[in-house]
Amino acid sequence: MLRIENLVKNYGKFRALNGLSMEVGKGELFGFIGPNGAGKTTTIKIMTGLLKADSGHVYLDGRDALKDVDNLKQKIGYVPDFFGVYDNLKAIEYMEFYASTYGLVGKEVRKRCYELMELVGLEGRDDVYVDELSRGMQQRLCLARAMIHKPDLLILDEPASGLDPRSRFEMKTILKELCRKGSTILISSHILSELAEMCSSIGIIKKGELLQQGSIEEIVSAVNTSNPILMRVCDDQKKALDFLRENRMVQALAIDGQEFQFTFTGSAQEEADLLNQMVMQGIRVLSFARKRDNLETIFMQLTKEGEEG
Amino acid sequence: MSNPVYQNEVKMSVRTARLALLIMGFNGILAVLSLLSLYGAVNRSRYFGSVQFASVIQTYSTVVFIEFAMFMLLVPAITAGSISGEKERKTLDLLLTSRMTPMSIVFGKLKASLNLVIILVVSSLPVLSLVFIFGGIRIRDLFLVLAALLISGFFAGSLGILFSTVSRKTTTATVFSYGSMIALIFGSYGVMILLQYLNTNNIGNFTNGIGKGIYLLIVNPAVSFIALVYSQVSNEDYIAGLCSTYAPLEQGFIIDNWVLISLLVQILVSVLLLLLSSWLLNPLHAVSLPGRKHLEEH
Repeated sequence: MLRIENLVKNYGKFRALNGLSMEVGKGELFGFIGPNGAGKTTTIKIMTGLLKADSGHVYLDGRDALKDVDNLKQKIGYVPDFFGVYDNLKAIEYMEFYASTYGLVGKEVRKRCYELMELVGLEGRDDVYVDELSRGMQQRLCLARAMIHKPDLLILDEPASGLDPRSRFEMKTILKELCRKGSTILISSHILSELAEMCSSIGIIKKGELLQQGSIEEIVSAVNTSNPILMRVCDDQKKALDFLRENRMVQALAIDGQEFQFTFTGSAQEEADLLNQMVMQGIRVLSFARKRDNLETIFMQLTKEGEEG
Repeated sequence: MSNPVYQNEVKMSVRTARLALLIMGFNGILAVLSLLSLYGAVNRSRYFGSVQFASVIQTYSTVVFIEFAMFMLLVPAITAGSISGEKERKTLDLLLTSRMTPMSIVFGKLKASLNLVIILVVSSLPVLSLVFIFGGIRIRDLFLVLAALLISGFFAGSLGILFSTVSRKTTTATVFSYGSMIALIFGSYGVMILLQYLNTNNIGNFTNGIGKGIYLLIVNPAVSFIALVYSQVSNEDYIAGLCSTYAPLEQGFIIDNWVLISLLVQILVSVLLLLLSSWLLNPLHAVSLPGRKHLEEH
């Protein structure tokens, strides 16, 4: 659906994007995360035609979108982080105005506006002035607006910023529902726990480069290889302890009752062999797994690693 | 199809009291000053025992000059907020990511501003028509003045839109718009007076006064407007008068057709300013404007 290749953008001497490459598949809810100044907004602005890249390509359905901005605008729906409103415009007029900016007018368009407002839970609010809506409602209206021209890709820049927990939950529910219906969504956010809950894949960016990309499971597995292994045995802890001590790849071994914690320097294959050998030795293993990190920990780990390097 | 930005602007403007107050204030000031001027003319006729046509004509010229001055004050203020207002509301990016081109956004904004200019011009007709109580001015003259007002309004509006495009804040755009109008109207006179001063003090070689420097005034909307009104109310040729003072040897087609050429130049410059605004508004043009804050990462 979306493929970015070697995107470079400089602001004077500052390099905001340093050969960024990433891919978003059709029907994905893609979380785009990174620390402040990582290049998220610059990437989004280039993808929406609001900024010119110094070099690189953005492909939408295989077509170079930066060479055909009209096509890009038709295929992308954009929800900015800050929601601007016009005074004296009712919600339905707001929708119709933006529909007209895509050349869409008439009764069918009005019907679509109502449908979209219903989709984002704003049914019955069509006659309310936009500036009288709550922040959460305004953000949902903005989302409905972004879908007015039936874009292939929705890009949301920090859609939950400044929203209360209830509005954030409502927004998350709507996005998951949209994704279930087949929409492709790229969402940039700071609220990592929410991204972890709803995104099918994520991309972590730092200093204009992509550090990791994939499903959350894939990223967790890739990053967790250095995490300690947690193991529980049914009985005979001494036998298990002796066995582990004999293995040179087992380090920093610690025991707490039935639970063992140790680091393992071998490969994934060797890790599987270790478990297999213990079972063959008659050690009854209840659980054997790497210590799991959440997205937040992984994000901190990845973005910190770069700084240390 | 009608311009969505224009339609939206019109819809929003008629929902506030601002438009009504503007029309009322504009015509109120115009009416009060016209009536005062007319009152003076009537008083003079009482004193002299006969209607002094010169006084009535003076009422007409006073009123149209005031209208012109108010236009030059109002139009830049109105248009200066057109694009920068969208930036302040954070709605410009939404327009730029739509199918609307920067040119259609600029022209939609200008059309909405010109709408107001036309409303003000038309609504001022009854006040201007006071002069017909006594006669002396033809309807054709009145329409010529209105056409000149519209063109000057278009010119001032285009200037306002250009500064609105390059400024992040409406206040900055307004200051620059007024600054440029002042520079155009008074600055061009200032340069001329400076050159004349150098001439009279024998600094430099100015055998023909300021010579071709007189053509600097062709972009000054006030000069063409004054020249037009003078040609209607008196036998005095304002441009010839300027030439005799500042550039005695200058003559020819431009001098003879000053008003028409000046109005055409104003239209041409306005179109160029609008094209420049559209070009600058296009985010894909590699010009970093103060209105675009690039390093706004989260």
